Amino acid sequence: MSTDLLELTIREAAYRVRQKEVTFPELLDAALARIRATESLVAFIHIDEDQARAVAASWQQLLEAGYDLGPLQGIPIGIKDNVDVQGTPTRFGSEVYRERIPSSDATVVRRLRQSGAVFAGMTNMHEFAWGGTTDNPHYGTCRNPWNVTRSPGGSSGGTGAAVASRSIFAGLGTDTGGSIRLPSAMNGITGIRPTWGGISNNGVLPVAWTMDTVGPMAKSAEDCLLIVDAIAGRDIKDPTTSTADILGRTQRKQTKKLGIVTDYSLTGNQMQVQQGVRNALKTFEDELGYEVLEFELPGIEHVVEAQIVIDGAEPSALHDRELEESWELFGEDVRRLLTAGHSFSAVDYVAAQRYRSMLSDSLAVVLRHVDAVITPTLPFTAPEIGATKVEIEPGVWVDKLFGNMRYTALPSMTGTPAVSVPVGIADDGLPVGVQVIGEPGDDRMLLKLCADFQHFNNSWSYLPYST
Amino acid sequence: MTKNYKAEKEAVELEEVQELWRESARRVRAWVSNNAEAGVVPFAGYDKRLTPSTQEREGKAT
Repeated sequence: MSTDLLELTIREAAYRVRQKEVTFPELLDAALARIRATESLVAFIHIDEDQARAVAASWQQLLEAGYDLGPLQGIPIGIKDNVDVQGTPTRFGSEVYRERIPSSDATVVRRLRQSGAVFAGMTNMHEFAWGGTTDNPHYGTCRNPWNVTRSPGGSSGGTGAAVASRSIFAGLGTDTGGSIRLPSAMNGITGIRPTWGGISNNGVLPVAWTMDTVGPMAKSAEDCLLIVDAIAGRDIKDPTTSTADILGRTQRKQTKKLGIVTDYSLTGNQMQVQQGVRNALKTFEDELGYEVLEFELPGIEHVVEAQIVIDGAEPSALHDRELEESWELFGEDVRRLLTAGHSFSAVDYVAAQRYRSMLSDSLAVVLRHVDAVITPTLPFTAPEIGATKVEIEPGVWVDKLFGNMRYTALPSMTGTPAVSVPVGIADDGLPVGVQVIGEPGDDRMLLKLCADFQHFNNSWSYLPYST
Repeated sequence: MTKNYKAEKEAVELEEVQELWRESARRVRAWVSNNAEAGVVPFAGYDKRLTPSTQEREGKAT
């Protein structure tokens, strides 16, 4: 019974509770049992079962007393370890902050509490969220439930593995250069990097201030939408949200057209990934009536190189003093990246920021003609744990960090929202994800578009083989 | 900060990353120098209004 419960969508689970077929404590018990059964994945790094049970029981009592807060009430959710949860160890996946217990909630956590969510635990992550794996040297290497020799991606790999293995209904991740979308694709789940400034980052440890976002990861786009509805909106504690409820403002006319980018969307990737994208485009055309157009984005070939300047320099500035004072407490890969971030000059940084302006301009033009731009989420399926290079065609190997960012860099650099939606299983038995990019404020429209897609493509409901 | 790199393997790996990143930055600088007009300012958030030169290319003002 417990696995069946956890395969429900959030809305289905909420319905069953209200039909008195199941209770919130039973949903939580199922989740906790599943977490224990899959603990070798190292998806979670802190769990407080007693506290979670007390909260679930309270919500059940309140529901029976007539206090119905909606579909998130009583739903077990995971929180990435860089999002503050009051009174709970929130350590950024780091040794430096092993003893840290925040005294207040991040704004997104407070809003989830107000919606009745139950926090099942803190999920594993790449140390300080600076990296695309979740090979955490301090709390353990997180593994991909589709194949435990493979990476779950990162930096929100714990949330990705936990949702995919059906340990929780959904979770929060954070995304700077791809940290929600990469683990969503590699684990066969759905995740959205929201519009930059649409969801508060208050109480979330930064990686790169000009690109950081926090967002949901769940089985389906519809589940992600429920969480976006709960956490989005202006927050006086985060000035980047000062444009009010940016995610709700866009009601632009639907064109029923999708864009792909010349020499980008369908190049530089494994054939099995490319086939997944082509199949997804065919579904959009044949089942949903979209027309696919091709556009050029001048300078797109430099998007990863420009992102590495910004995504390299900003965390090095953030962690400058800590790295000097606590060198030995950092994992080897993160201290290498943080040290390398000092390599850039101010001129390099300004040039990269000017590049962003030009790329944003070009993308804005494209998005006047289409509802969304389509790319793979990443060029390959989940790599082997520990790999530093990945083969994308026979004899052609790419640096894993740069490869990870080939497609995720476009939304990260332009502040645009992007959904990673699972589209199928590749020849190697691993999930393939497609990235759907819109204009700022299009978040809800993109999730609805992906929900429509998921009516015709049920990859999101596949259960990993190894679980 | 590289003084902290006592292990040779770590130092070599750092040098490889730095070289890759410096080369990346150089290519971005070159592309921006060749393609950006003086009025292109550093990124301050996505702007649907587009810059004047893009509007001109689009053939419509916003």
